[in-house]
Amino acid sequence: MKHARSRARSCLALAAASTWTLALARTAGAQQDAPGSAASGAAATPGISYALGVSLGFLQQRALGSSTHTAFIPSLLGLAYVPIAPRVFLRPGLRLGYTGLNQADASYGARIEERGLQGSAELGICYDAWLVPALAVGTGLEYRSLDFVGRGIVADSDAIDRQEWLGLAFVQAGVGVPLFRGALVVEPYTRLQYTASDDRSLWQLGLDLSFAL
Amino acid sequence: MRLLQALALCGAPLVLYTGCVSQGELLGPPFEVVVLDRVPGPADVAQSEDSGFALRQRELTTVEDFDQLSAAAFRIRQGGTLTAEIVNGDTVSSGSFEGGEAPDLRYVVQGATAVPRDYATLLMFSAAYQFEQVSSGLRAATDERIRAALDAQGPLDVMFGPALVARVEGVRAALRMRTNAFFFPAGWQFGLALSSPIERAPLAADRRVIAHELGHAVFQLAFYGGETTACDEDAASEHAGDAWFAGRLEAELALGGLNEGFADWISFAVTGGTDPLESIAVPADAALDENVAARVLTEDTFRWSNIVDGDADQQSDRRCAGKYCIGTLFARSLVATYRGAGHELEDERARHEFSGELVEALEGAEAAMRRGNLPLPSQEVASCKNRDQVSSSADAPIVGAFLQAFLQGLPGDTRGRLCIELVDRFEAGFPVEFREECQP
Repeated sequence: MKHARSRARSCLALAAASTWTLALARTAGAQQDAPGSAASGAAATPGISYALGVSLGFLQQRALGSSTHTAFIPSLLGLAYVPIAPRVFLRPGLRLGYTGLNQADASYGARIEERGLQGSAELGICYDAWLVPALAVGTGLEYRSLDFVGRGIVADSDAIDRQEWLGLAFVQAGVGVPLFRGALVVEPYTRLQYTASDDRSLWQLGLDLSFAL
Repeated sequence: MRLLQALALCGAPLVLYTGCVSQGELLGPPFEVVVLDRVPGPADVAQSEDSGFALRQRELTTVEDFDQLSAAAFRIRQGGTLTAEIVNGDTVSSGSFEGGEAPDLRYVVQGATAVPRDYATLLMFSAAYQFEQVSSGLRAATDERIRAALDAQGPLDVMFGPALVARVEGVRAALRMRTNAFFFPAGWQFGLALSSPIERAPLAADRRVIAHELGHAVFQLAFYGGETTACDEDAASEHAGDAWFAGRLEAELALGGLNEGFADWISFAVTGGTDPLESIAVPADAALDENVAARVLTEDTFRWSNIVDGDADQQSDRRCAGKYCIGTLFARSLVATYRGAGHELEDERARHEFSGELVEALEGAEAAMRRGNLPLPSQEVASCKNRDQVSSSADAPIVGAFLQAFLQGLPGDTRGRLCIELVDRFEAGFPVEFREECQP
């Protein structure tokens, strides 16, 4: 059952309410009845199931001129699987990510460090088979801080430091690979993200690792 | 993308509630912006707001279109591809440039001032401000003809982060410039490559670097008459017997070095700074016997005998390598002559006036060289090959021919003082047969 449940984890999503929480996913994890799977077929009793995991995202951003910067964005991930048809599941999810672990190229003496906390909700749809293709859309918010750092011959300053809230939205496509009888699903994905008032975002590639609850 | 924008707005109520990022409307010209700028005091004791570089609120007075960061004298652009065929130090002598886009500026308006929201925008604001400052200073430090030529060229394209490609014998390869700023005379373009950790401060914010690169533009106009020619390696056999084959001077290491030195002079004349590379942490060269401050114009740390790539057994106490050393000897001689005339380093008006004399002399130098006796090119130069190290036999006659021609254009008192400084520093690099102008 776990196998079937896990294989159903990549999905197509539509913007979900931003009030969902990871806690909800955890508490609901007691509902272990899984949706249908390739093995069990349409005869299985459908039910909502849950998964928690981490996501490793690599967001390509435009930098100066023709160059790009790849921002590493690790995230916590919570997913629910809601059967809507044989082998087809809606997959609402929540992500909480951090940006700023790596910074774009800059001079030694002066740089602007950007750090942010991203919370997003998504709704996806996925098809449960040996591989689990999924498509999702999502929306969220980023709380971002900008910090000018001066060193050496450049004086440090807070003249341009600021914090800002940014809305974001994305579409994401992935293919889940169930492992260990479905206890773990590894889902490489690609995502096109738009961040309000920040048009530097290009494609994001990443890897979702989720564990069945 | 429209769907994504719409979805992003799903988060907008919260964003609006908590403080939306609105770029706002900037009034001008003039436009108030926050830039990184030099502030008074020795940079090495920075870490305070009073010296080195610091964020400052400044006014862009000549920028007409803020979104394009364009003015009559310059235009900020992003990206594009520079294909270089011949690179001499920080001057791309031959190549082409394609593409480039309007600057993508991200800022907020706070109290009528544009405050950058990312590093790229900070650099572009800073560069625009520095170009405004340098452009007016550059005109003051030249003469009427060069001022007119600069104006006639139209706006200089300042390219941020272009992709650099080298094309050698038909093969294209990605190129990483040794220096992070360069001048491309053919396209009348100035390039600023990506920032790197060796920059103690961003080059885009350093008017000394910008003035140096624009010094190449002055050399291009004054010495080459605005037109340079690429050396044709297919005609090597014809070149060997022709002292004035097209592209010969552009291919000479010595002329490249003197060009660098003149650019350092212009940097000093425009900004008053005597260390054009202060914002770059130049790594030590293990091949030298002694690493010295190779570009500080008020120092006197080496002579010709310390820079030539002579026989290893004969060479000792090598302190500088490459054509830039020729340039430093030239620039130091110019600064020493300026000071010897009783001028202060800080006297901007005196710097500009003195520089005007030098530019005038440079304008007549190529014609004077043609009247003289330029030796036949070395086999390397005839074949359009680059050489890295200074050669006493190959470079000294070129240096001598140039200096002789340059001196001819100077007023008598300046010529006499400069002769003494040049002979002192260049030693055998200024051969006796080219010292006619130094005779009392």
